[in-house]
Amino acid sequence: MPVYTRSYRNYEGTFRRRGRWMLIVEQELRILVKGKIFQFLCLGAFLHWLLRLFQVVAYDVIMQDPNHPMAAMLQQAKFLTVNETAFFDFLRIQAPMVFLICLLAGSGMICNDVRNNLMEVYFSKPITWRDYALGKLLSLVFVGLGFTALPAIVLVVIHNLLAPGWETLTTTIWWPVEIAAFSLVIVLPFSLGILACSAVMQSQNYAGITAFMILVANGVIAALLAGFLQEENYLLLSYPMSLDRIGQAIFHQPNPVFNLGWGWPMAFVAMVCLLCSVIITRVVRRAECAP
Amino acid sequence: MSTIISAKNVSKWFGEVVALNDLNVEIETGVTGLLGANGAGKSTFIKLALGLYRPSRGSVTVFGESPRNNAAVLRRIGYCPELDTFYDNMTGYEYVYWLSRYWGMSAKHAQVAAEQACDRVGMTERMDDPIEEYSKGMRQRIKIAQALSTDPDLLFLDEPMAGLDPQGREEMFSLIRELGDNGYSVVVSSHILYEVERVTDNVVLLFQGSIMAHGKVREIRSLIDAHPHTIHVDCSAPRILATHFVQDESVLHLDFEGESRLVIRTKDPNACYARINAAALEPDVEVTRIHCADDSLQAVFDYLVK
Repeated sequence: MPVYTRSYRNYEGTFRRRGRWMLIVEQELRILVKGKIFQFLCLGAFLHWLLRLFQVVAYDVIMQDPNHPMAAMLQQAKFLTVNETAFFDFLRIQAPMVFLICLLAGSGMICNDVRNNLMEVYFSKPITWRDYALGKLLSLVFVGLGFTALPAIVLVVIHNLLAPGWETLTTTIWWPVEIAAFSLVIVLPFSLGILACSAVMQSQNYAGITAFMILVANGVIAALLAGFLQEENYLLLSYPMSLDRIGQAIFHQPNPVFNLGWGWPMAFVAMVCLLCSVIITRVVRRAECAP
Repeated sequence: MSTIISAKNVSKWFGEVVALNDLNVEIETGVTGLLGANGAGKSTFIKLALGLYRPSRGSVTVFGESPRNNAAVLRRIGYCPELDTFYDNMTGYEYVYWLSRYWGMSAKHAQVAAEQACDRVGMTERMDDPIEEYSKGMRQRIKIAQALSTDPDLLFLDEPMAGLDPQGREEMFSLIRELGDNGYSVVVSSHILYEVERVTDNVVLLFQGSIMAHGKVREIRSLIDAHPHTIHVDCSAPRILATHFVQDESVLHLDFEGESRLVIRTKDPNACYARINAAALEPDVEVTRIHCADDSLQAVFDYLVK
């Protein structure tokens, strides 16, 4: 009878017991930043940010100085004013970019793992479905916020540095909160929606196309309903319009896209998030431990 | 030796398909072969032991505890799945590194562990190449490396020889035997009998979701003594040799294959071998080869399944 003598040593380092989702975030981000398309989209987003930076610098340095030679000319350009509207517009323009990035990064996140049989390897390690789902979701959320909240808040800081004073500070004190809130409203539902498509579809391409088609079809149906029935409140059913309405409420913008209060679109977005969360949870839990 | 996996009255069904049926088995330390045809329930059993499946009935314990969502148990297990399980655009080293991180290692330890594991399976030179450029054998090795990187006490290798060329198989046999010698407990599943026979003589035979037999190959063989052994004797004069067995009551059947082979079916192989040895001393009978097919696991499996 063979004598089994251990000649190996078990791991003697410390175990990561909490925050295992962070590993998934770290890995997903590393994979993402290697992608050429992602780098291209980053460049696009950065160019937009540079334009906004020019706006902030022009407003703070030139327009605030009446003796500046270009001041008179720029006084006519009202769109250069740095206010809540400027940041609302910045985030609105970044939103399609965020959607594309989430589509690129997220459409294959779950279906590729399923297709590559990675789920059983993940869950044969001490990783739970919560770690997995949270890691995937947060990697998209962090990327999304990196394209929205982060650059916008940096602009607010630059604005305060270029025009220091009590007045600027009191005016802008809540802007970072507003920016963060609207960014989250943009990023979280996109991330959940694309992950849900990735969970139910078998390939990255199908998941991406499905997410894109749902978004387009949703907007078209809402516009048709609003047009035929002569009732602009049906625009609530358009996801981008709902996001706009919430943004308008957060940034105190006049002339809302429809007259319903922000609570309705918020409830709509929350419902979509809930539905997507249920889909993701069911798929991942089923993979973690078959019934 | 102590029990590491214990299954009590375990059944697992998927809809109307019964994958495992009232399984009772205790697997001890050392190398154990999980043997059965495709669909016998080998992979299902492994996934139950990993906690990836929940038993429809009964219970499975590993190291005395339920493995499902049990980090303490899962940290002691390494798993090499049957199918390829790779990320797109990832190198072999990255694959092993990340799965070590998921297991709970710090980044520093995971780097060392991944390098050591790649070295152990002979993949050091190619570990920085993308996995998509790997041959089947390399993929198999890198999968084993990820299972080994955490130095688990128990290793599940699901069809590790699948798709390997003869040299790759030999290397895999050596690796598994080496793991066993180093004290790892290894459960190797396969549907090819000689593969299991090459790495261990301790087997669990599964057939249609049930345990057909469990133990040493020779112990299993003794359970089926009612079945005759078949002995092939290659010699210069098979008909002369056959005359030695005509009067032997333990011999059930004599047959000739070509001009140089005698096939003997006997209930008493030891007596039969003695007669062959005696006959081989005669000048007319030059015995060139004796082969008893029933010594192989294939024969055991065939008998039991029939």
